[in-house]
Amino acid sequence: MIRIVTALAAEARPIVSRFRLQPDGDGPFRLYRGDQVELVVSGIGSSAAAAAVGYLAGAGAGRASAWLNVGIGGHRDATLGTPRLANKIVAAGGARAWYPPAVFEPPCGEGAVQTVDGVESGFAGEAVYEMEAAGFYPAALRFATAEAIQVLKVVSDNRATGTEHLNGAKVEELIERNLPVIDGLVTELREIAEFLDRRSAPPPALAEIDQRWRFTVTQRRQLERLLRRLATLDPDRPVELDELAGAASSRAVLERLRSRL
Amino acid sequence: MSRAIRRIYVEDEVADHPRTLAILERFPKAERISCERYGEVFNRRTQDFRLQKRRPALILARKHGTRVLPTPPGYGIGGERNFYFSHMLNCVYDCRYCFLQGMFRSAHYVLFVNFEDFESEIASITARDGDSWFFSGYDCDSLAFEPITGFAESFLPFFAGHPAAHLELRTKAVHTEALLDREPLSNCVVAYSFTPEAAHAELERGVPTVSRRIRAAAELQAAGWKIGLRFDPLIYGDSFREDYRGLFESIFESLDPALVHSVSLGAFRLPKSYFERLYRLHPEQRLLAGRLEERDGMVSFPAEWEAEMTDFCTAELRRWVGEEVFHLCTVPAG
Ligand code: SF4
Repeated sequence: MIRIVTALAAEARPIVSRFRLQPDGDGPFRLYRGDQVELVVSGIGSSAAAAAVGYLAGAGAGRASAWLNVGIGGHRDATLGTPRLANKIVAAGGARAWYPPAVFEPPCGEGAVQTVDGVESGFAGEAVYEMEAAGFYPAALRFATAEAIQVLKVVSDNRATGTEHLNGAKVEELIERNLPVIDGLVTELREIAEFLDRRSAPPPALAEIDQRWRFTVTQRRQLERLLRRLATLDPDRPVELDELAGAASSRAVLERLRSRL
Repeated sequence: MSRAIRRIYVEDEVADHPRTLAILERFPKAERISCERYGEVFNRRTQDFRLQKRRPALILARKHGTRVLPTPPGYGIGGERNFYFSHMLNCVYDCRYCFLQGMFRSAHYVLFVNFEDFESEIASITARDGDSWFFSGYDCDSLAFEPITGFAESFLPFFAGHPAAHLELRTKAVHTEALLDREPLSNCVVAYSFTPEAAHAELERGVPTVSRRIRAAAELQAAGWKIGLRFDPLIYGDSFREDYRGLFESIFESLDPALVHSVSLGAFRLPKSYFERLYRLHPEQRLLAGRLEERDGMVSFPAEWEAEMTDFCTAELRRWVGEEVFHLCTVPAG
């Protein structure tokens, strides 16, 4: 599952329509769901973005997830509509920085993202200036590995063209124009999420065996490890409930499985 | 290899270091990202070593503090004073038994560009203690990244001027130009690590084949360099006897056993916490899923297997080389 956070409804609209997401519930954040993508509109600012991540993590479906923050931002001189994948995120005031790793070929240019507390017009550095990434990123790190969390910013204003030209329609158009990039990122993130899912998937027969006998927490951990190891070492002979049928206790089940190693 | 580097993180402190500038020049298309300390990128929690291995970045940093450390007990090739130093963390190869995956959270390559500080520390230790060994391939492969780092190119002239300092370059790499282009050093050993063909195919991703490594070692030996042989980790398997016998025969068909400087053996073993991380990264790996035991906080093959392998390999190797060059190693190595 890919979980997307945008600050504005206008940023969300093209994505909602591209992935055919449906509105869901009437919680504190506007939430949309589809088969593979969920999206939440956080509102403006770092704290709102962090809270929306927590909300989506709680409300979302599915197992291992990947996260994407999509939004607009200002840049000194980049052309309006330029997409930038964040390779560094600096918190307002510069006190903290994060470095999202890219384990795939980025579908667009990359650069630093500077989170600020209010609208920026000075643009002292080379970064894209925006208001959510430094809230979104560390919050998402609580739920996923760094490689599965990305931030995409689309340049919406610069020194020559300030924020006064921006309105909902313009924001929508900027995001719409970058849907191929968002598509590319979603594809990469989906592959990562599926890889993580496969790697941590419960081994075959775990649920059935766990239901049939009564395992302590420690024993259950041992059972899971044993089944996983057997699936690797003896893939042609999956563990069958029949072969454990006569086991009188959970301990006997573990003993039998151990003897197959 | 150079194509794989798309991002280079540069610590502010070394942004103007000549080695940084030279490396950046070699990667004009790589994204450069400034950072204050390499740990901000490298040591962060919630990173996945295996995912990062798909596309590791390079981090250029300064090594602070003590740069040259005494080796753990059980690590050495006969010298009395043994030290190790790491000009680099992580490796371009991807061996499934490698303890670096258990030790580090990130698969990015950290290169400490202040070689000169390592060198002056080695010089002071040697001035203070006399003859000492310095092992360079502990947290990386000594030569695998040579075309980028110029590590040997920089350190060999230094060791040439410090005969009481003995250097071990531990490697599986076959680009040996930096050595072949110069006169061999009597105080430097190039130590090649080997596992048999079958283990190589299953466990050593991206590592030059056994035959290419043998050829590289033979070329160096012919050029006058001292060659060490490292069978560490020893990997158990049903056919380990034939596999290791075959490996030794292939090696000594090409290398002159009388000129081999040292041979060391060490069974596969990892601290428990490293093993657990490795297993989580590669649950589908047969070696890690197989029969291993925990003894004194280390995970290794059952003691009887270990003894069988060590005895067999020792006896086989003794057909070729004398007892005096033998060393048993009890510290995880790659
Ligand atoms: S075992 Fe050695 S060669 Fe293999 S990945 Fe580790 S450091 Fe590199």
